[in-house]
Amino acid sequence: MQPKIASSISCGFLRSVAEHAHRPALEVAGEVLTYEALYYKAASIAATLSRLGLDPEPPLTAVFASRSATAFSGILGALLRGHGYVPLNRSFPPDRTRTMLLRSGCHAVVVDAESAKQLYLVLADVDRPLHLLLPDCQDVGDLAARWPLHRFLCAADLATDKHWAPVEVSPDAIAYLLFTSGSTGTPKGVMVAHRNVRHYVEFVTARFGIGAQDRFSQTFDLTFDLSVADMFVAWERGACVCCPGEKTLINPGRFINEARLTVWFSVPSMAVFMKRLGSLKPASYPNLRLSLFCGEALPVEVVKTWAEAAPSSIVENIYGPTELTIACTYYRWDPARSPAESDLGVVPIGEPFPGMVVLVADESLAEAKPGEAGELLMTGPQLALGYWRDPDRTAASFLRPPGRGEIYYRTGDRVRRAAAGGPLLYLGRVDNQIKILGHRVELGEIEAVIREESGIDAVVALGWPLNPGGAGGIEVFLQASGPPVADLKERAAKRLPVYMTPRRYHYLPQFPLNANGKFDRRALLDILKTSP
Amino acid sequence: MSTTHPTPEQVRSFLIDRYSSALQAKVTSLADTPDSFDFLLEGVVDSFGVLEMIGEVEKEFGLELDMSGLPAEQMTVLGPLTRFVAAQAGGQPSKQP
Repeated sequence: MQPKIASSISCGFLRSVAEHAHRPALEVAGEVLTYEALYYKAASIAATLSRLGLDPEPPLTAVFASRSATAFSGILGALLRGHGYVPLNRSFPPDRTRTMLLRSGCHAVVVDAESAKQLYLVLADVDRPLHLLLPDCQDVGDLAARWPLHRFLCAADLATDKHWAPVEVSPDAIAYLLFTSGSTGTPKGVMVAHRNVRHYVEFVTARFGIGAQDRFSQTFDLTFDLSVADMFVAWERGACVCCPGEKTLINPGRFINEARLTVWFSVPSMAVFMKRLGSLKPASYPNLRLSLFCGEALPVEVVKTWAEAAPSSIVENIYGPTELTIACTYYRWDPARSPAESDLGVVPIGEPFPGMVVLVADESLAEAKPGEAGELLMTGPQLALGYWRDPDRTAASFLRPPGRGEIYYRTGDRVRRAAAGGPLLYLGRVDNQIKILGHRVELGEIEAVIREESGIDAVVALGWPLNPGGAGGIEVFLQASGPPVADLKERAAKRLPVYMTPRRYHYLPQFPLNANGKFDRRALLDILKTSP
Repeated sequence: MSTTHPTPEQVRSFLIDRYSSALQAKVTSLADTPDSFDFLLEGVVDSFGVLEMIGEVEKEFGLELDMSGLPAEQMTVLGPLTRFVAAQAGGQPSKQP
């Protein structure tokens, strides 16, 4: 079997199925799946989706699963069917999952056993018919009786095809639709095309000489686009994706050695946690040959410790928002040179991937003077298609700067490159977006939710405690008194993912104002600095 | 801050007291909180809270813990965590003045 669809992100996987059928493709939940076994599972899902006779628009299938064989075979099954996939996450509040599912317009959802337990909540108020594929379930229980509107398919109902002719897709078709935090209170869906991901995968596999002997970590949830890199870079060359359980990720040191990982990829926060817990002792991880960090600023002290813990490993800081597909700049850590090149205790983000173009812009979006800080705009083959069914927000962020012919994406990140040259330095945000454990969080989205739930208009959300990578959590200030904090906590938890849920609430009779008469965020931060 | 080597029971008492308000909603009686109680899975702490929890134990008992010896899966489970902390403390010099 040879791939017929070189433009799809699944083409590398299919090539590896042909060349490495009996090598491990995936280790998850105590199970090892060879390329052939994973392909069979995916082919079954693809064939089932095909036979359902779904409305062809939109060509998307949701995958409500994580850290299970069904999660990965669901993604591959959707892709082999010629659909893009929409990852859903059971650690998110069911209301949020339902919003994402409905906004995506998907007609079918692949669901694993653990996530199926949440269907009772997610399906509430869904008034259009869905097809739910439950490969892990032997029967559909009382789901069908409870929701006659929907069709439920358990393992015995799935197609048994072992082979499936992948559906040809355009390079411009959506490979995945990924919802990120949106400043107006609702998540926005980033449409990433197959050709965007192919560019990333081809560059990275060649750059690092990925081979069938490699074993990749899979630390990211599927709703985080960095997970795409682990899967499709590994499967491009017959390597194995090793997916730990969620709890293992609290301190994954043992897992790195027990799974014999050669490639590590995580947010810097995970390395910070490991350092704090005593798991970054020198030479702890002799088998790692490549360590990648992305998703938030990488502190110099963390990378130094990591490099000593993994002495045979290349260590790189890569950078990129979801809208520029996984990552689009890279910087290799060099203990001799890099400390001097770093700024504010943070490792540079380096140089753009080949083909990607950088514009450091001033407020009028003209190129900033050499050596001056500005907002980072980028364009090139990894520029995503825009926001799903949201032309206004797409036009606001994907635009043509004055005097430029191409559309660029405004990252909202402040950067600087020294006048004499050198790597790009990351300086922070131009707006109220922060990073928590590498997750993008729009403080405006949290404020909108708390305003609605409290009935109070004056609400300010802040990241706290601050750290070089972003913040450890969220704290919220409300002007005047409102509902009891316990009630507010409970209501917020129903709408926001854990990492966005405020940890503390502060009622103030009056907010401090700045010179422009706006709420003084800096003064509110000072209150946090002095509070116990 | 306590300055002697704590027993598992002392670590347990400290944790139950420290997280009592969240625990009350999860167990019928604080004193009967089972050894198998998982602070993370039960939603008492999130992944940031794990570090805070370890930090508070260190502060309370004047310890510097090396958690690399405890499997991640057990790090937020009451029984294994309290026994591990007590064992680590036993191997450290007391910070008594």
